[in-house]
Amino acid sequence: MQLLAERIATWLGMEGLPRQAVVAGVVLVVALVVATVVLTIAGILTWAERRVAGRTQSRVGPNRVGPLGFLQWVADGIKLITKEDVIPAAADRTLFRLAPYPVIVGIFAAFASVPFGQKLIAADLNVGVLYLMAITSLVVVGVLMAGWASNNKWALLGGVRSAAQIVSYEVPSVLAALSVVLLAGTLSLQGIIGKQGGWPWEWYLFYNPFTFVAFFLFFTSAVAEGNRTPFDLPEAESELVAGYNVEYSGMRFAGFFLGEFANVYLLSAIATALFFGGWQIPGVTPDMQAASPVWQAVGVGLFALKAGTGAFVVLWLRWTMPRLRVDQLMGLCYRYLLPLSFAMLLGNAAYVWLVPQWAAWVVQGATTTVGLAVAGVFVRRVFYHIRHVGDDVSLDLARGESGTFDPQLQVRVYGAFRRRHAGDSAS
Amino acid sequence: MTATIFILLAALAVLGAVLAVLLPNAVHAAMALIVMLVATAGIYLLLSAPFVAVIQIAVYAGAIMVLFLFVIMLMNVELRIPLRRWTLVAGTVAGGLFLYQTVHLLRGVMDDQARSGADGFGSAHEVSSVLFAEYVVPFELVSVLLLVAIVAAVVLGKREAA
Amino acid sequence: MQQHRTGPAWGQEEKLIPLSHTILLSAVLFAVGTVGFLVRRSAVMMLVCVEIMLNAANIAFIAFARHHLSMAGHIWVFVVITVAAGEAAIGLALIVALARERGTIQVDELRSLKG
Repeated sequence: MQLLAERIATWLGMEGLPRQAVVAGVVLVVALVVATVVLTIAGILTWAERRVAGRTQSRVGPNRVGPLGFLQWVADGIKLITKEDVIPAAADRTLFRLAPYPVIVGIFAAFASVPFGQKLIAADLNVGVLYLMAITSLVVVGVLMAGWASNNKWALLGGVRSAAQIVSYEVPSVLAALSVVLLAGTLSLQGIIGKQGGWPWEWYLFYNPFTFVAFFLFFTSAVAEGNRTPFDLPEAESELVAGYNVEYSGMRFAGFFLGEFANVYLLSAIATALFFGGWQIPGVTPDMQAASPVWQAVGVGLFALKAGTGAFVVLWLRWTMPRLRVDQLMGLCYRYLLPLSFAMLLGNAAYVWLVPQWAAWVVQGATTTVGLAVAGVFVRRVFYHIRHVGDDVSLDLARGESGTFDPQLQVRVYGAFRRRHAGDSAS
Repeated sequence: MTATIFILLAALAVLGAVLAVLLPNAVHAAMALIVMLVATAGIYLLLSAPFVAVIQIAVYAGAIMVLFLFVIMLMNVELRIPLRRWTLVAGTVAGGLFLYQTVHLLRGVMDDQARSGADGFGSAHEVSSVLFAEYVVPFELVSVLLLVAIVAAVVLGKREAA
Repeated sequence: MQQHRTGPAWGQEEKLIPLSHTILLSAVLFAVGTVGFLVRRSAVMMLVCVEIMLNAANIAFIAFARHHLSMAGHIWVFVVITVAAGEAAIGLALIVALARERGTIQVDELRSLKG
């Protein structure tokens, strides 16, 4: 950070200023830039979630504000900022006001060490992976604060459930991430990405069967840590109204809301860095990438693409899977994920210790083949199902002939659906 | 710069600790303790112990304090137990004497000659190479201790069957 | 690339924190923790104060480790943190059992052993 400060100061011709001021200024600017990026990502994800939900449920989703409704998140943000911030009379006022901050700080601070690109990282810490796990655990404190301070039984139940869930699922997710750390021999995210390559067979995902399983363990636990469906018991609308943030409104609610969506992107970004080769471009060595700004930009784009795909899968899961019950949730963590992640860690340790290099190549190739084949079959099934169920919502149709809302549209879409499946029920 | 940050963090830590002791509401006190723990993690960073700092946040703020908050919030027993005046006075006197004695004892032995740090001191690599070589027995003992703690907590927390 | 570092402000070495400062902080925190342990009458809060004292000890460990450039201090901090975790788990389990059995966690009221 200080080196960066020095470079920027030299570049701006500000060497005359005291060093501390420049360092402090640079830190502030970097923090602001990171916060803005995170807010934008989270906002866009709220829009993406509603669009994905719409398509999954054969409806349109937001499409009024901007092209494809893209600016909906800006409108929502403005609405939430201008709304009244209601504090319940019986609430613990101080804690109620403070509760969103640990959540926001925990998630935004984590983005400081997310490697968006080879050189696009706010702070490449040598304890990167652990830092991410540690700083995101501040979220628990905020959630508990919110749940308790609201003085509402649903909020308290939601907060306590959420905290139990986050604390429990942190263990398998850290253990699964440790599998990769063990192979890379470093906790720094840039170091881990540097050990991988651009091609799929160079990713840690396909390094050996243990890492392949470890990825799914990590992803599942991370989704659970983020309180996302199918693990969204803390805010289960049907039983807890909305969980720990039920009493929140206006900007404080937006804090929790954006925190949740930033967390979705965060977990995809970590998974990308740990298992999917991060910003590595196929066929381009890190040295070549370091030399050329064009490759840099491609790398950043590739990282965003991979992380965006991950985030899409998380959104997709939400609208596909039913919610678990509390005991099933805890049972899944402690009976299956935890022992499995231990096994994967031990398996990786044994693998590093026992397997000679030539066998490792063979295993890597075989894992890649099997993994890609499984992925291919999965994608084929998905498209098969889409074809069969039908995807009748045409987004052009939704705009109506005159560009305004068409009340007949729903009927027409439903009619098309009925016609297509007229034969199904008969057979 | 380092000194300024240190003083800020130290002030925050002391403030958090004092509030944790004085705030009548147990939940507020626990929150104050979290402030102190995070400030302490910052001080570890300044003392070139990044790995310990991260562990401090993950274990203390992330796990131990959550346990405390759980018990405080869910047990629903006396949330605020008032402080008695005479215990407060007696405690402060005792603590003050203790502090005076410690500072007095330490004053003679301090040499403030700081050595400039070696590269990578306190990193995960350094910690692990010492932990798993020289201190492997304490490490194993502590893991057994944790296992005992888990079993004990489960046994104590379990309701008697009828 | 031309490097023109002018003025002494840029080249200067970052000053390290004097050992006495950190040890003083550690002593103050330990004293606060002690006072709290003596003053608070709620068993949970007494445990919280024990955590403050353990942290004070940890700061001293880290400060001396930095001072002597020896990793031993860090290792003992891990031991202390682990012990603190175990202590919190067992202590809180005891308190839960206590609250169930007696309906109070005020240490003043738990005097049935007194003749």
